[in-house]
Amino acid sequence: MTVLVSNRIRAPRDMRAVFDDMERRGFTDGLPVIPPTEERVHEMLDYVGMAPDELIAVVPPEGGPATAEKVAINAVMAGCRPEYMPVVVAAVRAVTQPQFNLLGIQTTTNPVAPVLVVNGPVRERIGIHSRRGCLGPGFRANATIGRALRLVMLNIGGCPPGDVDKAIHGMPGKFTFCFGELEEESPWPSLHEEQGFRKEQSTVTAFGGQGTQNLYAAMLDPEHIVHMLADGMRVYGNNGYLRAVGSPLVIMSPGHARIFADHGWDKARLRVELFERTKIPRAYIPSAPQLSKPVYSDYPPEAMCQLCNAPEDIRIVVAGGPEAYHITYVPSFGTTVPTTAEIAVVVA
Amino acid sequence: MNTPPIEQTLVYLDPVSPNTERKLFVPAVSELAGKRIAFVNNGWLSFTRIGEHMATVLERRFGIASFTTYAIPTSCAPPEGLLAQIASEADAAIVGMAN
Repeated sequence: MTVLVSNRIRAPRDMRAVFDDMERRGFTDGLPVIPPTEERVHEMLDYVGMAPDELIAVVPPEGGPATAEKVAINAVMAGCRPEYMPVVVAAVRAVTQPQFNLLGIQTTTNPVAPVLVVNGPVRERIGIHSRRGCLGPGFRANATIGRALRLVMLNIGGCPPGDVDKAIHGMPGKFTFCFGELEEESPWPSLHEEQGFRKEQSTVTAFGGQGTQNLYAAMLDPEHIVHMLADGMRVYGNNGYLRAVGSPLVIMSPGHARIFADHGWDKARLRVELFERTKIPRAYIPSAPQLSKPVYSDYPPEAMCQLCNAPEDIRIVVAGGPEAYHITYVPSFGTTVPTTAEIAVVVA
Repeated sequence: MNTPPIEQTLVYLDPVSPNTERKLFVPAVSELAGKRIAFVNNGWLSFTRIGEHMATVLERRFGIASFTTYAIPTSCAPPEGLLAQIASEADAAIVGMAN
């Protein structure tokens, strides 16, 4: 058995007492955790066949090394089964890509959190839920994979909430935000296929999302649905408008997706419609100086302010219950680019 | 708190990584007279105003040699190499407002 190098901490065996101990040390997100005993950590590492000292990433803001051992410890704490570990590793790799801007996301006053979208066969294999209720609560893989990433960001990145993490309010999605795309009921190419991956490959894509906005768009034709959706996205208080950058994420039910597809709309058309319809005239936005100067500050009144740089930056995924009732919109943090990492296949 | 007997304890592994990344280190200055001061500005209006005020105070009261503003993007890490450049061009830096 390989040697694990992390410090050993002795604590009472009682479940509540060990949670109290770990909470007091600042190791948790406020919720109870599974004590990461040597045996449990070895289970994680043995499943993925990684050496404990294999470096997965360096995590800002403190630049802590996310070795396989440390990631496994935090995955155990989150409640992950060993078979979730490949997804956690891929998620850590995705969010630490420079273009994701994890340093900014970790330390901002904004409530942004990584939003993980999982594609491919891994979903069925380990139970990543993509159907009704997929954003939570209730599904262990969804809940604990997202949570493992948060604990990595906290413990390895050195970013305690309310301290180095400067989020003014925070957001429930900062506990966990992970779901699968319902590829089987989407009339369109999946998120990962759009990026050049094959359907049979498994990936995790990380977005920097500010939270969720529910839009009740229970219409039956694309024109009215897109009108309602764009109206809900056209909020100049969202970061995207500040710099006209970012990747807004639209999570659409299979029912809504079928309505669009049955009327000949593909994702490209939907993106263009949303991009154009979410533009806001400069005159609509208060002209008072803002503490952080927006890109549109000096625009003439008739100029249009944009949610993002281009239509293709708007990402659309299909997930959730089948009814064409609700759409979930995830506004983007702005200065972040979605990043995708392939999930390693573990041969049993 | 009474320490429980060892058979009523468990051992778990520390989830925190020691930060082994070598950070840029510049010795603190003992006085400000004659020193080059860097102001690393992310563009927030409040910070820009603080910088203007600090420049005046440092020049008049403390006799600094220079006060140079370096712009960094809002909500992102500074461009690679900028911090090292600042460390070579300044004796001390104002990097945030701690608000």
